Amino acid sequence: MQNILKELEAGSLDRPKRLKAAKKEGKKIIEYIGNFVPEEMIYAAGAEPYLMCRGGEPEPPDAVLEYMLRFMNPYARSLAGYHMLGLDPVTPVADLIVAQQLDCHIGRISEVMEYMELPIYKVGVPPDWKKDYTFDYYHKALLKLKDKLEKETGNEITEDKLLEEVKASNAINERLRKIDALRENTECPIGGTDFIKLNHYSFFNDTEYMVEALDKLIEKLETEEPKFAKGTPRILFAGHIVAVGDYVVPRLIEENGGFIAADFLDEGIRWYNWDVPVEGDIIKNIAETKFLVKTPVTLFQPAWRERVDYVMKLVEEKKIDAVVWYQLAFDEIYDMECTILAKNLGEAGIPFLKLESSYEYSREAMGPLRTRIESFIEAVKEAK
Amino acid sequence: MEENIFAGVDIGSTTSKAVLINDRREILSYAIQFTSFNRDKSGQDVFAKAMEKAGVDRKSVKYIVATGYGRRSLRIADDVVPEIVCHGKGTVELYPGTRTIIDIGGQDSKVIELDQNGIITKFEMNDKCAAGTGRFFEVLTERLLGVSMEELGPLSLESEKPCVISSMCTIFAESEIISFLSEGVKKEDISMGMNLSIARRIIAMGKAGRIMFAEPIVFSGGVAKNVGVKAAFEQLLKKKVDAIENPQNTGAFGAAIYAQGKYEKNKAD
Repeated sequence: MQNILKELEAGSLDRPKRLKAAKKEGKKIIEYIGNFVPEEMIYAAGAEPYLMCRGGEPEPPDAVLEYMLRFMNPYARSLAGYHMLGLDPVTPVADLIVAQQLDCHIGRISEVMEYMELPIYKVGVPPDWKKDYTFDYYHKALLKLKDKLEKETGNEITEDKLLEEVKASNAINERLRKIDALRENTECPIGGTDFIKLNHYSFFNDTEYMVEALDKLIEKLETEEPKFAKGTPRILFAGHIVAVGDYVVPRLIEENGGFIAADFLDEGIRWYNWDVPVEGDIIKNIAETKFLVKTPVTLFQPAWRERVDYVMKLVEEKKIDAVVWYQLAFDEIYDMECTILAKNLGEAGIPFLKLESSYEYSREAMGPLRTRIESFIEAVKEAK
Repeated sequence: MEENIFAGVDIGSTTSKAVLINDRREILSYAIQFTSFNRDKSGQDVFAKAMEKAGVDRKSVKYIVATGYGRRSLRIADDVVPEIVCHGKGTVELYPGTRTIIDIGGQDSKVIELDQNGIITKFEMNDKCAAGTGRFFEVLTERLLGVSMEELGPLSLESEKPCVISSMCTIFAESEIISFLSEGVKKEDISMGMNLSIARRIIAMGKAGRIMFAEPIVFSGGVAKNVGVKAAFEQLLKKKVDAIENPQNTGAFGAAIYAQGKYEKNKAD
């Protein structure tokens, strides 16, 4: 198992090199920010997509302070920060950066990138998701994105090509769901940290290769020794985002006696439970799946009822012992949802721990963070 | 038959504590000393002191659990347990039925909620700044007010009109206190103002974590020696707060109980 994970990690790290080679051959490199930007459309346009989702280091968020106040979440600030520090190998060669516009954090950082004369293209995602016109708006935004991608690449996004890409993406989802299903048994060979990493690898490895690797991994996992002992507290890891590289918190949970048996994150992870239907108008199907069918993201309004219900369903179905809520500094909307969720979980007798990160994992910050996690898991164990 | 002895060593940011207990969980000895930069040595030294006080040798100590900020540094420890859990365990053993623990140590403060079975259900901790911790008093007391830590509590109880210290930051609070002193405000009123400021901050921290400060409330940590802070909590919460008699040893005591439990479990396995 470890070998497959290492190969996938190497494939992810190698992606910028492959993109540069593809660019030399005339392919367009298109970076994108957020799950509301369908990478399938970028692939269908014959371009190479690259998800901007790096985080977990303190310097990049601080690098943008020259341009903005610090009251933006560190993930959003990192998006431009890595580029400003010269640590982003892809942005300098990107032909286009497609950024979803759903919250003020990404919105402001898109402006900063625009000011830095980066080729930003914005896809509007209205948060009032229950109103008819907002779905139409998002649907039209995807149709406009199609035009933009076709113009940028000179390639037509045909229904057939898009269908092929959606099927490939669904194939990855299907395999991730199989791996996720293994987590229903606590004596499981793969933990939540590796599962989150697998999701990340799926964004950076070629689709076909990823499907093959996941098949091999599933086969391997069937005979692999359990990584977690029976009785290990089953944790639902929920919240905003685990950016690529920001693995400290999930790692600490699993190193200190917890097992991330389920996840519910808005970004940085594939929405692997929601396949795009392959019959009919594919762009409309994509829009419907992301905007209407999938459990709404926190930033949608009002979404708390659906989200609380979904968490409670996960708690029941996945036999969750406790919930760890992971959000970033200055994520006010997540703060508000966290309060509601904590109340509901409290009434159901499910322990809840809120953790907030500013990507400051210094020695001094790590001690208290570890204490919180260790204490929480120890208390959950005692209560079991 | 030789008695089994278990040790809990709590290496805090300011002080290190060790407690030895026997099979009946009776405290045989307790030792405390300042924590140096070498946390392993601090832990070993305080453990040696506790053994000396109890008149026991190393061989009779069957299991050692380390806790506190420096718990991972103690090389002789058989296991480590986080301090929040140890505080909970130790306090409930000493004060059965405790539902809320307010613990203010040298560099951090915690509020812990327990259920009727003594299981921790919620906790909150302040770990990123000195405000709301023992260090807040250390910085502001002797140098500014010219009174010792021991005198501060009784002095503050004589306050008739506590001043309002609004700054949450130790550094800004220092400026505020200097201003009060230059205006001729009485030390008693400044002391009580400090107590109320720290209590207000810790209550807000707990409430942010949905801790309702259910009774019985037990106050532990070095700052629990300050009767003025206890009074401030009682005034603001409008509830009775019991300060622990030896407020600094609950973490080490809890660790010793864990040591006993782990030893017995290992033996049974």
